[in-house]
Amino acid sequence: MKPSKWYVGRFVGSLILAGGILLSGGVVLGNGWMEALKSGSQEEMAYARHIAPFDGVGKFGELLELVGSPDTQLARTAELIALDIAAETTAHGREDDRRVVTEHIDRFLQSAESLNEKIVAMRLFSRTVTVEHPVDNVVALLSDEHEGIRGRARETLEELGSPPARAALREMVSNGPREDRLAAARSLGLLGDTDSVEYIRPLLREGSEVERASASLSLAEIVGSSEIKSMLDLWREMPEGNARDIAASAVLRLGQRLEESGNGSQALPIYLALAESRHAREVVAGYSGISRVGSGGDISTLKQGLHSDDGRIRLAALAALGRIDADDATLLLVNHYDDLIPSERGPAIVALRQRGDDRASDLFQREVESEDADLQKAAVEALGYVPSVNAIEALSGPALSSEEALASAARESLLRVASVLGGMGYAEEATKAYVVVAESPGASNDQRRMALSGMLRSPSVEAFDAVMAMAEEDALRAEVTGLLIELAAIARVQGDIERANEARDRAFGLDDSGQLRERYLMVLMQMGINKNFDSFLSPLREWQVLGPFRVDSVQEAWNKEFIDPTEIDLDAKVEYDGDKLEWVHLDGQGPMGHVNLLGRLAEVTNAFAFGYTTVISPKRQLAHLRVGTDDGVTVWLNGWQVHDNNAVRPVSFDSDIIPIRLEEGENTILLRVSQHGGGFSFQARLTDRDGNAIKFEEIKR
Amino acid sequence: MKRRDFFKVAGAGAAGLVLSQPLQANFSANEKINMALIGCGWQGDFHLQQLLPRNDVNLVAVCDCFQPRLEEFKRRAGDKCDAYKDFRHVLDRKDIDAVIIATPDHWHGLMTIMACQAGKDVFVEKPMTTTVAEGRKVVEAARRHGRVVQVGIQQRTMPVFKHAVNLAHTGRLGRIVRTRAWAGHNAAIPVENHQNPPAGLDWDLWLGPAPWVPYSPQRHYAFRAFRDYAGGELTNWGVHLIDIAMWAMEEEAPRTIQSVAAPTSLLPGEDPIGMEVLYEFKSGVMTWTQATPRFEFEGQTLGTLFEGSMGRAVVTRASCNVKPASLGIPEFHSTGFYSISLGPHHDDFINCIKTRNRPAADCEIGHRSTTACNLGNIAMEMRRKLVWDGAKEQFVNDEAANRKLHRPARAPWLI
Repeated sequence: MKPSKWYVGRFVGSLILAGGILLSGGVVLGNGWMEALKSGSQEEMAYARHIAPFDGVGKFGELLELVGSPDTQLARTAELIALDIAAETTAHGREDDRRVVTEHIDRFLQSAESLNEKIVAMRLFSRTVTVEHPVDNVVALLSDEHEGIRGRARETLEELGSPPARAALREMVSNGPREDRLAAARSLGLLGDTDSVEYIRPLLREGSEVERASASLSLAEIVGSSEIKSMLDLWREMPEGNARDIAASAVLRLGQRLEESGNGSQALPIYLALAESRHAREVVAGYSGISRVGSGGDISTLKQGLHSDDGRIRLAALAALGRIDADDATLLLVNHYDDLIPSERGPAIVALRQRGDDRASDLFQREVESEDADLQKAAVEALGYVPSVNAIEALSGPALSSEEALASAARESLLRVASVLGGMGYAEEATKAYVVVAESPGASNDQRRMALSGMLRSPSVEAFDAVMAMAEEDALRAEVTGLLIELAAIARVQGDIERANEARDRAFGLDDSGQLRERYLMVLMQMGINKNFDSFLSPLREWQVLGPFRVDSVQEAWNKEFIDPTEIDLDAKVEYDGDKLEWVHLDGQGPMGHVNLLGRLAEVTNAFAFGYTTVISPKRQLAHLRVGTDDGVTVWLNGWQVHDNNAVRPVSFDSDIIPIRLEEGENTILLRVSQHGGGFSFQARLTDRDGNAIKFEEIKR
Repeated sequence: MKRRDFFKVAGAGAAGLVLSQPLQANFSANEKINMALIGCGWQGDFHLQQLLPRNDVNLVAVCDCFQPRLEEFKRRAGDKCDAYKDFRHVLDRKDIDAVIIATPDHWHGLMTIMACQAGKDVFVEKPMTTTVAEGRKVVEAARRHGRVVQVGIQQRTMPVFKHAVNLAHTGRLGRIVRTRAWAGHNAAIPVENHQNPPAGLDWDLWLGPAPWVPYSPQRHYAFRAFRDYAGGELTNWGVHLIDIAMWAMEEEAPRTIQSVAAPTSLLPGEDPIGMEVLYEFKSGVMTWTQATPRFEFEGQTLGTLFEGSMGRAVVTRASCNVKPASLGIPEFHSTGFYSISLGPHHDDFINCIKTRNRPAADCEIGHRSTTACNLGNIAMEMRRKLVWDGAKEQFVNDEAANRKLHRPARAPWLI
């Protein structure tokens, strides 16, 4: 049936109304952003900038026309939108759009008249076109009347770096205006364009000395070891001055690239050549290079430097001997040391320190006593790199010096030495060093913390008094408590029970968490003490477990009664949700009597399980039932609920301490443990009200 | 001297005039270091304030291409300090041991390289460079010429940050899985108005290696808003804060970078009002948030947060605050001398000049932190998630993005 005119009219009217709303209500969709951009309203323009990149390809040409607008705000916004659209089209899968946009850009580049248009066109070009795209339109701008545009054109080619762009740059090197040839060569060098070698090489023979040297700098970016001789020849030709500096920089750059590519030995001729120079800074650079890539056979070159008349060269030789991979360098430095002028002894110490060779240790210890403050400090620092027991003794005095810089350096060295010695098993010696640091009046909290951490890695009772003294300081609490536990255990092993208890009690006084207590017991166990902790901890070990009772939500099911806690029949099966569950035996493991429900009852989330045990108490007594559960727990003693904790947590030692009264004879303990996810386990033990173990028997089934 | 004439003298390397400087200083503890300050603007002023009272430094030269600023600095520095318009004359002086570079960002990289070639040690303000490729060139030059190069990410020597990072490195916060850096700042500016440069300004020299454009006061005074000279707020405050985050995470380079920006500014600029960058590292994630001055996170307009498996730390220049309290780590406050951020950084630089050790914010460190920031800007411009190969310093399978790693320099200011 044909719709009535009234209906059609109303339908068309709705369309018109909707369109009006869309166009006039500030809601910009599709190409409506162009109108917003031209609106003159800053708000609309900003919104256009936000929307356009998602759907702007179709209006790209029109957009580029706005770049030349005399309205700078409009022109600028159009430029930024164009850049955004262009960037979007470079993503994978947008190849067709990229082609369209590139065509627009090419036309724009050809037709651009104003400076701004040309600049924007080149900016768009370099960021959008593919690597195969011809660059003729940019090349045309190399001969623009405006110098700024000509420069931009070269920069655009370099920024593009594509094969056509490189070809254009090579053409510039060969046939371009003189001032542009070197710039183009530099561009190609920075692009790493090895195809340009033959284009750039002629520039080594043309122009001024500075220009020739500059060309060699470009060449240094792209050639290999086969060019070393020609570049060194060029360098040697250069007179002292700017050109020589540039040429030296070029050969150094080549050497650097060879080293970076793993061909350091190929760079050695460069550095040996520089080391022969008459110019001190070149010799210094040569020595530096020799120290990196040279070996024992090159020490003689450095040795010559020690006798130079130029102090800079002597210092460079010292530094190089500190780094070179040659064993003889240490002895050379040590034997030559007393021939050095006083101001060079510090650098010599630094060089020996870098070698980390303990054949220099005696020299360091000698110089720790020096009256020269700089030398003394250098020696103190150096001792940190040749760890030995003697070093500790030598450093202990300076660590207490009133000269803060010296004392701090000594403390740092002591920490370094102690760390090494501790790792080698010299716990007592390491501790002595740590104690010096910890007791040093000017030591920072960081240094003392490091000392404590070091003592923790290789504890020794030598540290006892120092650690006890630091126990009062809040800033060091974490390290001190951990260390006290270790010291308590060690003292116990050594039979010094009084000290052991003192350390233990002090630690628990600082941190009475279950974790620390558990840690203490672990340490004792690791040390072979109290292998059987039962008489110490009295854990419950004989459990029957039932489950899992799966639920949709632990929270919602918390008050649900799955079984009657007053009527436990260990031989009966329990029907639940289509399953027949039965009680199974599980032993509590480890010193805490840990019962792992996962695996035995299948991995579950959102569930409950029960653990049941019977203990025989010799008498009626007040006690504590101390449990740790993952996750929450409800506890019944002899059928009476005594505890309820809807927790989500990992198992922890003595998490919940439940005061109870045990009857003489049999007492039943029922735990209901919840499971949200992850671990699913529990542990429990019985103690007196002071936390001490009590005697009881467990009924085994 | 006109640019073209100078080019004939200096050549494409533009390494300066005749130079013969020792590559390795020989200082005793009591010797003063002859220093020059290049850049007499906002940050140069901070350096000047802190250098003048020092008794281990002779400030022998100041330099700026804007005459009014140069004259003011010269007046404050005193008669023994010379003034130069062109920094190449500074580098040419044999008696100058070190330079501080406090120019607009686009000059930082090239000037540092030229100073290294001239045998000077360098303190270069952050960001170290405006492109990734240039940053690598700076490091290469520093190593090649054996120079001490300290980057102005001075939070590396501030005790409050050292304390915070130490907490992260020693595991007191647990394993660090996330860091966050934020700043209620942005570099958005109004549209520029091209006009003639003011009297006393050498605009061509100011532009230096940056692409040629007509003068506008917006570019001159608010250069951070323009990508030709800087990387917006991300390389301004961002590099400070991200450097600390990466230091805490012990990461050198991100694996992926994704950036979104809200150009909700009513003003068409290149630095967005709001920006979020998401970095994935091997060990965790880092986010950068850039917003308006009304933005606060954890009660701070800017700062860095470390989130570990055991706790979190929020660190600013004023304090380091750790939660939960049960970790027993008290709040750390910056006090006295150490609340003046440049002092310890100058100390470190000067000490390294004498000892030849690598400074706390060595150029390799500066390059990595700056690179992370530059990558964030590139991701914003590319409008897609980018995958980064930190070893090769290249994007993976993204040729268009790789073009943005390098920016050609305007002749003769070639690296």
